[in-house]
Amino acid sequence: MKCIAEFLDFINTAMIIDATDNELDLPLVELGYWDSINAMRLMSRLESSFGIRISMNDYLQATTLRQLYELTMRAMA
Amino acid sequence: MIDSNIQSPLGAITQMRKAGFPIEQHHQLKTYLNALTNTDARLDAGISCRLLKMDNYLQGGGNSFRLGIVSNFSYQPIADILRTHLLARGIFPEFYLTDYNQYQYELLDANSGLYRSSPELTLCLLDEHSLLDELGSDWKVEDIEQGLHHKLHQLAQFAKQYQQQTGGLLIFNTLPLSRNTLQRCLDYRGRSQMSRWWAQFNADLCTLSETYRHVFVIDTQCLLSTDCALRDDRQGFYARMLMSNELLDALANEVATLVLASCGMAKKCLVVDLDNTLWGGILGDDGIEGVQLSNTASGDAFIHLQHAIKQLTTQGVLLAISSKNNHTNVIELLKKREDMVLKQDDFASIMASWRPKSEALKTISEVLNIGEDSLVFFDDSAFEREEVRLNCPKASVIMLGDDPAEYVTALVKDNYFCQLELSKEDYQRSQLYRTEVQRTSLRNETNSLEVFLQELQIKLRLFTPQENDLARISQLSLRTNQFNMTTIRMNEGEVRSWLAQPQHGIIALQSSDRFGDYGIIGCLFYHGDHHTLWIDNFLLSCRVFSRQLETAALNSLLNWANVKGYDNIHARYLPTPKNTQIANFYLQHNFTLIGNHESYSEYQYPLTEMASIPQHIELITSYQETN
Repeated sequence: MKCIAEFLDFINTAMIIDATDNELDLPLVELGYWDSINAMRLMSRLESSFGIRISMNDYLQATTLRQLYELTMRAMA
Repeated sequence: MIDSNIQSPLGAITQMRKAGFPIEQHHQLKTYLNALTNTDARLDAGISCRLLKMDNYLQGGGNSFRLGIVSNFSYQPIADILRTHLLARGIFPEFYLTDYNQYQYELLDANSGLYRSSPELTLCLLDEHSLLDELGSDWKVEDIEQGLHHKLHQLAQFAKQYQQQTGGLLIFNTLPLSRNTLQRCLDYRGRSQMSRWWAQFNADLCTLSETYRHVFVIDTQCLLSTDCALRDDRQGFYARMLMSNELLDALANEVATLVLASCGMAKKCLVVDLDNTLWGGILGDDGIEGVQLSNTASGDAFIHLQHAIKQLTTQGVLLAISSKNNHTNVIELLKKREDMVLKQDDFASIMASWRPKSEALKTISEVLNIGEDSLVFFDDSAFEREEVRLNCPKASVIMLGDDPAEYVTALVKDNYFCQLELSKEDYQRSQLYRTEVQRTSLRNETNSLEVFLQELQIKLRLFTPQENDLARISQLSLRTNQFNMTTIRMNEGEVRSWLAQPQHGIIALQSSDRFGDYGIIGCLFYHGDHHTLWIDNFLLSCRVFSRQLETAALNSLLNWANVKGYDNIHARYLPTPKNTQIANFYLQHNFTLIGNHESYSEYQYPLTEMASIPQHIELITSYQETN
């Protein structure tokens, strides 16, 4: 994964949403289908797709897509 | 990333979602859903399809099914995955879903939302926490025995209450004992006790499906034995998802099977390829002695597959061949190779030619007189599978890997042929089709139809079905399409309820001829209303068309109604795409058309004189005595 646009594609595919650049800084709860089950689904999808392990604490603290992107990039580094 | 997604089935489904699932694409949707290969994809597709509108779906020719799910944990993924499984088979699920841990209330309270939704099937999905949560954190081994005992009693209560509140099916799953739970007990001898109680509980749970006709039990342990974890600790802890998505997917596959079976949509015929499917190698190149069966090590995998197929045929699945081969060669191989498990007699139809396989499937459907949607195609060639998928889209196509050792798993995995319960007729079916060959040769030897019918020495027994016949009556009502006057589908419970009503009855038709017994091949549903006897439905299996059995049965009923003092008979015909050939049945039997409604025609028959029974049929009736 090279850039945030690619990350957005991944999120849209995994979460079955159609988010755009404008929604990168919105609170996640305002995205479609955002609940604990789908949040966990996204976490495990991030982990399996990018071969990373995300700590639950860090994950819960990420409240926007941009913060999720940064968290993923840190975990991949 | 995006480009590759558009090519994939999941990408195509995303495109459809964005376009609002246009009706004209529903057929392709089914194809794409069937092409999904893993749990994540099925889950994502199911979420996408939440936006599919039921009205649109039904307009596109699909069916709907009311399904309830209750559970002690977060089970949302199973609903989405189940949506994928069912839409892939042409059924739109109308879900009733509640928050987790409401299952006791939903199943016990007669006024619960579950019962108000009148589910056709309810899944009561439980894991070990439904028990452990009731024990508290410091349980001792002996508490488990007590808890399991209590839980079983509770589940039996659910089954009873459910039966009183609704006519649908109730599905339980066996509760797997997790390694975590067992290993928290430090007394190793105690662990054995715990395992025994647990196994006993699951065994007793399975017994519920023998006690209650509406209860079915899915063996969770058996699904776990494939490559699939019970749960992910983090998902369990943070989202209370106590089963992994892979396990939920496997469970959803079983639930979909039960839904299909209860709709009478189980498949009827397996169509197999020959070269590199039933045997190793190419008959045309390697010759009759050269193809691989018991003569090579890798041939054993094909023999193993043939045994599995043979087992399907002994349970009523029809078997046909579609092969690009020389017909004479194929017959000769079937005769000469003694290590072939499947013999010529096992095949209800053999199509060996160089024509496209989709055409062969259509011919098989005509010869066996079953719908193309009843066929399942099994072929090692991806090219042939694609050709059939495109040109005979109603048939189901099994996805095969490249190693014959994996063929059996592919054959049975999707439960295409499963029914809620098999009847005596199912176990005899292959025999029945074999005697059909003898009948055909008699027909070819005789000059006229009259002589043929005389020579058959047909017997028809008309009787009131007993308890152990009801499964077969229900099966006929669910699976008969062509000769089905009103296409009122009834599960076994509904058949029983029908008989329990005053003035209501069923007459079963059983037939035999000099070549063998057909078993129960039809039935008449009727009820009396003052001076009128209503024929609510009349159905006949396609195997016994053109023998005038329907005339004999109808006229016997007319005469009986006459003797009983009824003034007239009323009957209806409801047209469907599949039953048009019997549209004039009542007119041909001297009924008068008295009402032409949009969805049905109504006929009347004044009971004045006795109707005659066709001479070539020996009628044995006993239903009059019991009605």
